[in-house]
Amino acid sequence: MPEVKADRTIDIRGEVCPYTFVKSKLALEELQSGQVLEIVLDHDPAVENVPRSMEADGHRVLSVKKVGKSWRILVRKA
Amino acid sequence: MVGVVAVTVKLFANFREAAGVDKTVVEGAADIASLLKALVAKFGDDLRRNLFDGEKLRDTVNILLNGKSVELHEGLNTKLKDGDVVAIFPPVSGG
Amino acid sequence: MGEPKSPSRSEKAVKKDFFGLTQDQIVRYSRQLILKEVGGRGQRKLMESKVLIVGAGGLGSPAALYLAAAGVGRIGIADSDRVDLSNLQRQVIHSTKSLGMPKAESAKETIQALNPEVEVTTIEERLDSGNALKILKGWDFVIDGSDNFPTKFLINDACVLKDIPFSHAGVLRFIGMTTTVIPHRGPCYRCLIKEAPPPGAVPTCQEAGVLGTVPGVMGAIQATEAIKFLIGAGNLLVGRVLYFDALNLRFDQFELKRNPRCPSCGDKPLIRDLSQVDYGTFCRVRQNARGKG
Repeated sequence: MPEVKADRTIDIRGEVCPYTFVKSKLALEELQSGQVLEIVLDHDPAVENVPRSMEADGHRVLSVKKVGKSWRILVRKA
Repeated sequence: MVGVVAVTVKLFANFREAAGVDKTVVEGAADIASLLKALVAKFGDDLRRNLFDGEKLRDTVNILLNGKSVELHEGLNTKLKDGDVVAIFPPVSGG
Repeated sequence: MGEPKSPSRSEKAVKKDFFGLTQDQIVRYSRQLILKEVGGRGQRKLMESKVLIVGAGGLGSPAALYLAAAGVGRIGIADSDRVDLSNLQRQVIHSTKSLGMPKAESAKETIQALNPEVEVTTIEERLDSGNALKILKGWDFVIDGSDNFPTKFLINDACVLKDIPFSHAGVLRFIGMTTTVIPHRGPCYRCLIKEAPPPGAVPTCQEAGVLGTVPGVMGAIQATEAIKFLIGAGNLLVGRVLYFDALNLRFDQFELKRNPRCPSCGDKPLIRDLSQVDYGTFCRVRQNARGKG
């Protein structure tokens, strides 16, 4: 299956909650509806919190993958 | 035959305190002056003192008819019709 | 005192990401950034906005504090008084150590301690019909925190003439009232009250007292309206008058309509110029003033 291409990537490794999702929300706000945001983070609790808050806002979480010591989350803007 | 004119009156601040209610319906008042008389008859002297200085309406009585100041209509002679809503409030200017 | 200008951006490295907000700004404003009605776009609007507060008293104090906390870019404080001990029961932007200071200066110090990003313009003048248009010019929104009828009518008439949105409020004892005016798009203060009651008819807070929290609540509502207007969120208190009764803890409201015969914002306004109004006592339009057809 072809990989979804991100329209924008934010690397927020080192950032902790709640700023992981504050920054994710800000980055998503700058995208157009239907575009995809890639979030790279390494704060473990954020792996659940960020997708949950994105979905609560109506966006679609496409994937959550562990890459080495960090996580890669793909979200499509509603 | 003309139906009875029923007007809803909303009272604020000291007028509410004096009347003891925040809202009332008055029937049969043709204009603002007779509406005020009917309110005094219904709620008594305390409300009369808040509304009138002797015979004169106090300067601190603001009356809106359906959202518009009666001063910009015909004042106390402003006619009422069935279903009208009147608000009576004092101005406050402190800051 | 010059024309208010846009706030300067923080010197810190501004990344392209996150609406150009610095790390500190993201943290400072995080609780409102995550509100979808605010977000990065709304925050930028606030940071680029200019709000004038007339009167750094019971209403102006909380209004100024909340607007500063929210990150409004420039706040103007117009007040010609000095801080008096009897002010401190409700004018929470001042403190015991600022007794005797000009209120505008005292407010500026508190605002900058709270949020150094906010630029503050102090105007140590009493608003009158001669300086009102000059002082009100260039602001996006005005908060009427004045404590007397003449200034309230003056702010209304000047803002209607210059099309400046403003929040009106007044307090006494346990009562507060407020409404928001967007000139020509809704009613104005003169649609509500044609002219001022005679001096002495309505007691002042000095004579009749006021519970400090009453202007606190009303000033916070005024700041809320300013923020909503600036970011374009929600429904403003336009065409509605909100009454707050602290003693019985009730909020009530009634409808207010724009009056086509209003001397200020009506279809044929009598007030074309502030010199046409006698702001000394009744705020009445002078006899020789005529509406222009």
